[in-house]
Amino acid sequence: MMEKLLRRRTSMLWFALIGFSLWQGAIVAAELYPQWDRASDFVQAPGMVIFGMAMLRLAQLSHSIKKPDVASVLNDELTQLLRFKAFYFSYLVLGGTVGLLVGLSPFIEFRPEIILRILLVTAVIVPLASFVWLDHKAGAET
Amino acid sequence: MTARNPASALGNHMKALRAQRKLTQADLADAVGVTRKTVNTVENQVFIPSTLLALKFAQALGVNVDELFYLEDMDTPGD
Repeated sequence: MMEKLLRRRTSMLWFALIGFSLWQGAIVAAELYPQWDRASDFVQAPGMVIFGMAMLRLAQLSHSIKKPDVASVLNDELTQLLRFKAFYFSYLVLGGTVGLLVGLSPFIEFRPEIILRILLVTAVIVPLASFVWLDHKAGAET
Repeated sequence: MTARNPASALGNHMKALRAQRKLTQADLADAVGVTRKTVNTVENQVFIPSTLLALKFAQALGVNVDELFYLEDMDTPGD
């Protein structure tokens, strides 16, 4: 049962990651390359739906876990450590992104909206991707 | 003098003790209340458990904590 719940959580995180990347990635791409504007619309909608569904299923999963012992297994020491590592790595990447944007600002004129969107995409995608990767790596080392 | 990686300094006999008791990683994980990945990473010395979790592992395997975990630069009990 625990393995099934863990697999469900991992697959929902994958869907959230893919959906958000498609949705926000398409918006950022259209901002940077206006000729992709039309193509971006076709990618944004499915991305938004996939992300929304994944978030809904994750919320359902956490609501369906009533037993405290099951909830504590899903949030055990290793999971807490992986989450900490994922957030720490994301903090460094976010700092690097800010540094890169500051460095590029004398050469490229960024609108405030695109800067905020790039930071949002980084802040959501990097922790999700790092957690999924670290979690996969933890299970693979048998 | 070379600096030791603290993550590799804590050895354990978990795999051998688990095999002796014919337990799978999932069985031990259920007994302790963690995921199978936690058991896997402790066995492979990727993850160092807290004192509380180390005591729970020792209890589940029916040994003292120092029979289960040891410092790799020290003599291990029974070796």
